[in-house]
Amino acid sequence: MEWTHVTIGHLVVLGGTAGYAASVLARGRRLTARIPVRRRRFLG
Amino acid sequence: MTNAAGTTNANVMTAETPAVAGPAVQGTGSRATRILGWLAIVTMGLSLLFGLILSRPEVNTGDSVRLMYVHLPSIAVAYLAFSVTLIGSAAYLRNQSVFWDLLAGSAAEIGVVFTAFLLISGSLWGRTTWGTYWEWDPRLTSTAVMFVMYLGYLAIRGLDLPQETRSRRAAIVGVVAVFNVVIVHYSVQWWRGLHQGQTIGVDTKLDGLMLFSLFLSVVAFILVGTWLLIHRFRVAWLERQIDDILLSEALDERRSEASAGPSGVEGRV
Repeated sequence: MEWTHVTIGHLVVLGGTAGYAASVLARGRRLTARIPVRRRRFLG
Repeated sequence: MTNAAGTTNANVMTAETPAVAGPAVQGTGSRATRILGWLAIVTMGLSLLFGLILSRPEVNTGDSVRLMYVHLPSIAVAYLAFSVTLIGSAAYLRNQSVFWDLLAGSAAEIGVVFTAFLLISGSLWGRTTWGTYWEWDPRLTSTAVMFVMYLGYLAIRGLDLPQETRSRRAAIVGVVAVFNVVIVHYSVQWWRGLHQGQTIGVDTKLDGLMLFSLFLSVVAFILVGTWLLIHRFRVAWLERQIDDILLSEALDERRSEASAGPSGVEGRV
């Protein structure tokens, strides 16, 4: 039971982080395509 | 997409704004974030190696102690994120800067995500050590309240209100909510409950390898949190820019409609 819970916990945290990161990156890609370069301040 | 003025716009890029020429910037990444991202991935990989394979099981709780390597770093990121929200909110109330407002909102979202991870991993750890997924213990209850408070903060940011009003209300909540973060942190000292005391302190009982694994995972999570914060802030900045463009386009449209009216008299917007 211990390893089952350890595995689920890691999958939730790491999978959730990866999913959230992917959604943020996807939103960023979608938005940069819609905005003029001169307004892309703070994009590095 | 519907803008603040209530008009619909299929695409922000118009004939008047063809400035996309030149090297196309795709996404919110930059050289610095790419380096940070790879550093975070490598550190996270190492922390998994140490946390799941190299470190030993704990004497009393066995292998379930390995959940500590995702549970404790999650609260570290959440605390840091909510601290950024506090700083951003206070700075916004002082100077009404869009930068601070967006930074506060972005950090709060990351804090909420990691608080959710904290509650889930803690619940799984509780099942293996206490025999229950949930207990109305002071630490658990105050953490749940903190989670709901910051969800409320994000809900305020999503309200259909004028931008300044919405940002000011969110900033007030962002400052007030931090008192609950303090309660969460000290709850194990102030009240007696099921939750253990602070893991790291002057009387730390973790052995060397466990302590190193924990340190590595905290570093990895903070790197990931920082990387997420930079990207999330850039997304929020782009969203604000698009809202501004849509609003000014709608106003221009109304002005041109009014000036081309049958009476020939320039209309009011």
